[in-house]
Formats: sequence, structure tokens, C-alpha cells
Amino acid sequence: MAYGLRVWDSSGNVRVDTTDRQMRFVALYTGSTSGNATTTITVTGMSNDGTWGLNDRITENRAGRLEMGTNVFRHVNTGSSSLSYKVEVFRV
Amino acid sequence: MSYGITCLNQSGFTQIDGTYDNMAVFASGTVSSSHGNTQNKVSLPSNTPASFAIFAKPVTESGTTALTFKYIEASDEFFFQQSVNNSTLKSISWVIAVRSVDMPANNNPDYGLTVNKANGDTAFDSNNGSFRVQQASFVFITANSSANVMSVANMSGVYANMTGKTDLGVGQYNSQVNAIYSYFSIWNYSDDEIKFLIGPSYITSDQAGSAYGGGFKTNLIGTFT
Repeated sequence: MAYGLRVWDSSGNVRVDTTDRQMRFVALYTGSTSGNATTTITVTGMSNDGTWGLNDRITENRAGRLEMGTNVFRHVNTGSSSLSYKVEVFRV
Repeated sequence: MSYGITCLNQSGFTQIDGTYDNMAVFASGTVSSSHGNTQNKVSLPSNTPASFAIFAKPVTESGTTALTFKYIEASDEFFFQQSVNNSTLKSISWVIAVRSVDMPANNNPDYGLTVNKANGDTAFDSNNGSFRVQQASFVFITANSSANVMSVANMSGVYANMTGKTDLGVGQYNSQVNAIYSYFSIWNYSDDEIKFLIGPSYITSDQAGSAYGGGFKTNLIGTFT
């Protein structure tokens, strides 16, 4: 082992190991975006660097999409009707 | 952060830092997959907090299983839909993970490690089960996206993050009908890989060519402790 943290439970199961990545919650953002419009949400530090993740819980929003930028993400609505979003931001 | 603990893994990724909340296992179970209009739904436990993520894998770890995820916001239910061309239902293992601070009180704690945030909230507690991420990918989906493939040395117990927008648009399924195209997670135990790919999830009377959503998507696979 080069370095890192390993934690076991009392049964000897490894809870965290030195090669794991851990999913960590940042914030939940909810709202709606008007038809043919974009909502921009500021998240300080966000970057498309392979450590920031997005989950939109509204699974059936066909006309909506998420875009990640620097310190922001965007909910883009390409349809004519308003769309809700419920986005979990996390790091991994 | 002026004090506390930061743990990095061997590749330099932060595991625990007392700034963000590590996700912990809140509930788990099994349910049959769904096909067509047969929806075998799971209701969220009544005490589920606002923030959560849902993971899944086939119970039987052999062959190939393709699933897309459907969440019904109005009733707080979810189910796992198979593709249009596969009607053989399978048993699916699911896990709900929540923020450590939202975990129910543990009145019989084991030994281990607890990390609190500066405000006293729990950021990490080794008494809780956690999602040990093995691989992550960050993709931008379009109608023409190719498969995102993750090769896995040991497929035993490997779950995928199912939460996130899945329905992408409507396209022609065959010369007779259209289908809703969705983002699938596909476990292939013969080839030791999990891939993420667009496929038909429902036959629909909707017209093809309507807006195709796509966008940023996070694919995660790993095991639970």
C-alpha cells in the first residue's frame, strides 16, 4: 500500500479502502425552466474535471438537458413547455 | 477548511474531507424488472430524505441485463424498465443512498471512524454502509452517442448509479411504430463489462423527431459495503 486510509467494521469488512473513490453530496437544486429557455445555477468550484457529477431526478424530461460549466451548471429546455428540474450535485 | 481531516485515495481523489457529505446506505431491497406497461414499482420509504441516489444491479450475476430507470415524482416511486425487445423479467437488487447527516440515529454504534463537518453535522461514519466507487465517467449524450463501456475485473456485487434523466427522445423503432429512447445500463457478465447505451424503452404513439434531450450524464459503478 502506498498510502491512504482503510477502515474496517468489527466483522472485518472494509468500509473504505485506499483505492476507493467516494460519492459525496454537495447540494440539491430544484426549480423549473420556461420553454425554449435556460436556467443557470451557480455552484462555486464546479468544473468539468472528472470529479463533479449531476443527477436530474426528473427522468422523463425528454426536452431538457444538463450542461456543466465552470462554477455553474445549466438546465436547458429545448421544448416549448416549462420543465421542472431536481438536480443532485455531487463529487466523486 | 481550517481544521479537520482530508483523506485522498492512491490516485489523489478526495474520499473524505468534512466539507461534503459522504453518501450512506439508507435502504435496500429487490424488485422484478418491468417491461412495456407492466411496471413493478418500489415506493420510497416514508422517511426518505429529500436528497438521495438509487443504485441497482441484477440479482443473478450471469448473462446480460439491460435496465433503464424511471422515477415517478408525483408518487415517489421508481422502477427498472427493460428494453422493448426483451420481455423476460429479472429480479433486481436496489439500494438507496442518502447524505450521512440524514441517516437515522444509530443507538448501537460499532467502532471505526466518524468525521463531522464544522457545523457538527456528520460527513462520514464508518458505521454506515457506503458506495465504494470503482469507475466513473462523465459523458454528454446526444442522439448519436456511442456506448460508454467500463471493463470490470470482478463483476460480483457491482451496482450502477441509476438516478438521472433517462428518457431522451422519440425515434422510429420499426416501420410500424415509434419508441421512446432511453439511457440504459447494461451488465454483461460474459464479457466482464458494464456499458451505458441508448435504446428503446417503450413503444409510443408520439411522433419521432421531437426534441432530443441528452446532455451531461454521470455514470458510476461500484460496490456497497
